Amino acid sequence: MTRLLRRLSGAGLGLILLFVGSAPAAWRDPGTAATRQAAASDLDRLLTEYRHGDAGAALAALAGWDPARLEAAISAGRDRDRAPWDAAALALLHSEAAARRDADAGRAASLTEARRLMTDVACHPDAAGADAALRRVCRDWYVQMVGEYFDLYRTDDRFSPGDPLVLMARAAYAERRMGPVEERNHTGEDLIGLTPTSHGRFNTYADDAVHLLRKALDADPSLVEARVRLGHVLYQLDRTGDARAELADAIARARDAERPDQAYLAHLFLARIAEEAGRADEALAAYDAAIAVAPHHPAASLAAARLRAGAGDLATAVTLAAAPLTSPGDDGFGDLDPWTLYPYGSWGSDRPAALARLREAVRR
Amino acid sequence: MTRRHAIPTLTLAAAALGAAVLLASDTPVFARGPAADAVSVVFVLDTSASVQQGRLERGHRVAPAPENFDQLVSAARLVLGELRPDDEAALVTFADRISLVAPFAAGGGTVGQGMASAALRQPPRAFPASVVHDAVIAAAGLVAARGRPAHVLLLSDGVDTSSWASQPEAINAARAFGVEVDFVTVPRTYETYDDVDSVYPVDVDPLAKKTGGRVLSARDGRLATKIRDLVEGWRAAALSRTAR
Repeated sequence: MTRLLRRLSGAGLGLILLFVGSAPAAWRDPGTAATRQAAASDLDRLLTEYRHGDAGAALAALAGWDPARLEAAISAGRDRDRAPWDAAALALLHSEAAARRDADAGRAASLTEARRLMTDVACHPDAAGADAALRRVCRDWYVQMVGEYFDLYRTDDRFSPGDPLVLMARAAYAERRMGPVEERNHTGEDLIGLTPTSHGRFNTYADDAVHLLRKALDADPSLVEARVRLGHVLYQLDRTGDARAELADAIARARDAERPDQAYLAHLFLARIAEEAGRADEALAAYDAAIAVAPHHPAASLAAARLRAGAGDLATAVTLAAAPLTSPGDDGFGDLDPWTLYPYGSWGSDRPAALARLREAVRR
Repeated sequence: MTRRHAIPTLTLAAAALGAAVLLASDTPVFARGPAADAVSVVFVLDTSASVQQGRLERGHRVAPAPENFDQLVSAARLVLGELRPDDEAALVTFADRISLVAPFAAGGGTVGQGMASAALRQPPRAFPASVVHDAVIAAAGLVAARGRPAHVLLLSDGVDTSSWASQPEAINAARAFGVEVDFVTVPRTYETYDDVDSVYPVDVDPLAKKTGGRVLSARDGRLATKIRDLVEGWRAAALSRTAR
């Protein structure tokens, strides 16, 4: 009997989600107040389900909403008083839904509302100040989402500003905004105004990044990822001696920290520094060291192939170039090359998975 | 005929028949080997978000162009149609990673099937990435190992966001491997650098031009003719190489 009731209640829940998750034609014209209020109520039901029921189904339903319906729900729900944990949960629901959407108006609306809920409600000092668990949620959400919002990069005061993970996430965002190294090398053209490029921006963000990373390492010297990033930013600033020292230090610490992905990146960056200085043998040795850490990832293998081919060793070069194609694998830290993820900082990891982990904290 | 003579005679007749069948076959590779103008080509197909969805990420100035991918595939099929059974082809795809979808095989091999795979049409990723330069190096190494005139046919909008190799490094690698890169393009879907993601436009033509290859537009009304010329050019180069 109990089993039957459970089945029936499951079917009922399914029907409710089907209804709440569907997009009736009315939502395509969300002009009336009644329509907006109905959308807001539907969103609240999804929030309840997200926090206390089948979170995956609630998330899938919201991610499938028509953007107009979503905007209507957000607009009508904005004036509702929400407790800090409710606000954090709704922000997370929006963040997860945004990560599943294409770049449409719904994604933008969800991201904007998530930021508002976190900044103005959940992570407001009056709310999160005494609640250590909520502060952790705020910090982890910030680290995961800072790449989405420029204004979050500028103001971290509500998101554990001295926390080394927050500092590192901000630094990664600053580095991303520096622009590629090639742009920096157009300095001469810029000075006479021929080529408008980014390096005014480059210097500003580079200084920011160095400052933030040094603060992060002061707070936690064992933070290998921050040290690798510092080495890479210093290299881009042409401070290659300092860069090499930081990268060598990072390699030494990566083993204890169990971060082979960071050791791989540090070897790659050392190789690049050596290559640009014309020390091909040293570069090749550094690429070989990176391959030893991660034989299935392409960046190091292809770079070594390129250098070997250039030196006339075609047989070895062919083997190296084919390696990522013929034996792909994840080397124990994901199947994407760490260099591919590097520009995205802490949020470059699998965002849906990271947000799903964070979700558990708001399901209380 | 005695029984003693019958077995060798039948064996000879069977061998002659077998040889005749092989010589008349459409796939004479094993009988005669490839002709002097046979070519090896790796199709390097861009499956990244910028090609499939006409955007890279939020913040870009983009125009949706989902037809780009289909146009690249159509261009690839035109090239496949020009290949002979004694040519060989492979298919490599790339977006945020590089994959060997169809290994080298005679004629078009399974390249056509590979391009039709639904798996190539990826769902949008939170951080779409594209590794054009690295894919060119991988493909160049792959085809260089074949020991005959080697071509990389890059089918892409040329937007590279995440390669470790720079464009000059990819060019130098292709040249060192002795591989020509031909490039079938579609228009890029943003006009200038992206202020948020630091994706900058780069002139991609040098990848082809500095390796001896050609640049074709997938939207060219005379694409079929130009592709026929392209493959004939490959064969002429192969013959002249053999003559040297």
